[in-house]
Amino acid sequence: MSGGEASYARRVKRAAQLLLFQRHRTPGVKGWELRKSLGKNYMKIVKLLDSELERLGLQVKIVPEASGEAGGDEEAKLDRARFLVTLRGSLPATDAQASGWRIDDLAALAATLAYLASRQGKASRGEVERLLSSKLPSWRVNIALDRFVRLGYLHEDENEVLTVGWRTRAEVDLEALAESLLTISEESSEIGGREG
Amino acid sequence: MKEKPSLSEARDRALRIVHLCREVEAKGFNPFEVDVKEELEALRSLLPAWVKPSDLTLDGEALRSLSKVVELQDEWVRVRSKLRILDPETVKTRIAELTIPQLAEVFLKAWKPTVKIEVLTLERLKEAASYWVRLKPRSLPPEALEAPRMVEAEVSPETVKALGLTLSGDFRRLLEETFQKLSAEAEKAGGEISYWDFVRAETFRETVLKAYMVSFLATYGYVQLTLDRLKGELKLKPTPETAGKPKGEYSVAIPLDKFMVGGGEE
Repeated sequence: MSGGEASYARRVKRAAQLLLFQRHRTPGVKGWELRKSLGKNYMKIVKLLDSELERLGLQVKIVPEASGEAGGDEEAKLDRARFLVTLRGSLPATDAQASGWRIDDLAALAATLAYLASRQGKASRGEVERLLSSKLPSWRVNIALDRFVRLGYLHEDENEVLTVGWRTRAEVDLEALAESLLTISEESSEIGGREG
Repeated sequence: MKEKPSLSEARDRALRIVHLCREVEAKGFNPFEVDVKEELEALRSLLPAWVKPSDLTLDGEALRSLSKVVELQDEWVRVRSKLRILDPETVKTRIAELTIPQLAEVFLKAWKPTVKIEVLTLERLKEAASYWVRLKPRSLPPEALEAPRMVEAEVSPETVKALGLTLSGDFRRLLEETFQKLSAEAEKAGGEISYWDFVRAETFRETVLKAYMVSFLATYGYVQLTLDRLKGELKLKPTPETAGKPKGEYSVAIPLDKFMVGGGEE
């Protein structure tokens, strides 16, 4: 292995450590942190890591800042973007349940995000609560919404307005969610059992 | 009429177009940020400058990059239009129509969860230390808050026996005696007896010993330990019918606090 190749290999390993080990409260790292650790051409290293992760069914996801905070040139945007590792494909229901997700929480999150997408990404908490109460007991609705906010899937401002959170932008394909909501057959469901 | 661009100017311009298109493609930026019409006109104006076949290759590369941007623009419009037809009323109707498992399935099809490895960091250790310092002391005498001194040393069996810490070879006899005593007291009390009434003794040492014996009796099926949820009271019931059959379903930890249990200095 030449010196250049060895340097790239070392930096790809370092990038994997930076992206996978949770260093802050929120997973992943900012672009500027990668630049500081990997050098100016860190995007090249990120691409190499992404192709390595592809073999494992994983991918590097770049999450730009919320659109309201966007500005500056591309380099500045990347500096402020969050880089993290996500699955490349979807997660089987059994795995989601095994990792602590209740089926009714997943359903509530699907309904909330679809509703927010239909309202240009913004709705009052009251509206969302009423929507979810048609499916779940109201005490569960509040617990679920608080949990989604805490996990970063939703953002709630001081006026109790809910918007899509950073984690939704990182993990959820809203287009696929919308398509699936509109097209899923009312008879079909691959998920059974444990709702409670 | 426009002046014919120099070869170097033409190369720079074409390379800038290629670079811009690649950035948009690689980083997922809005493809409409590229003015395709203007860039195509720029490429047309560069045509007279190309002399060698390699220059035309660069021109072709710029054209291919622009066509890729057009493809991305098409995709961009498709995605946005799909989300636009998702009006609130349609969403409400679909949510009403679908069951909880179906809605969960909708989410799972669109969800690619984050992968992370949690490690103990210096920052977390600092947070933990700060939390520990802020914890209010329990309402116990100050000496109770002192951490017990842990001493690791090897001592001979004779020394242990001299200190009264060994159960000698009569462990089984002691166990049987405890069981007989427990059975007699339980019979008097109507079949079962309070755990603490039975275990509590004159000295703390004896209390610990009895608790130790009871734990063996419970593990090996001689007694049944139950919790009266209304009174919060632990009860012991002799079960000679299951004696000698170890119970491995669950274990219960009962803390023995010298100040709560009482007993002398020993």
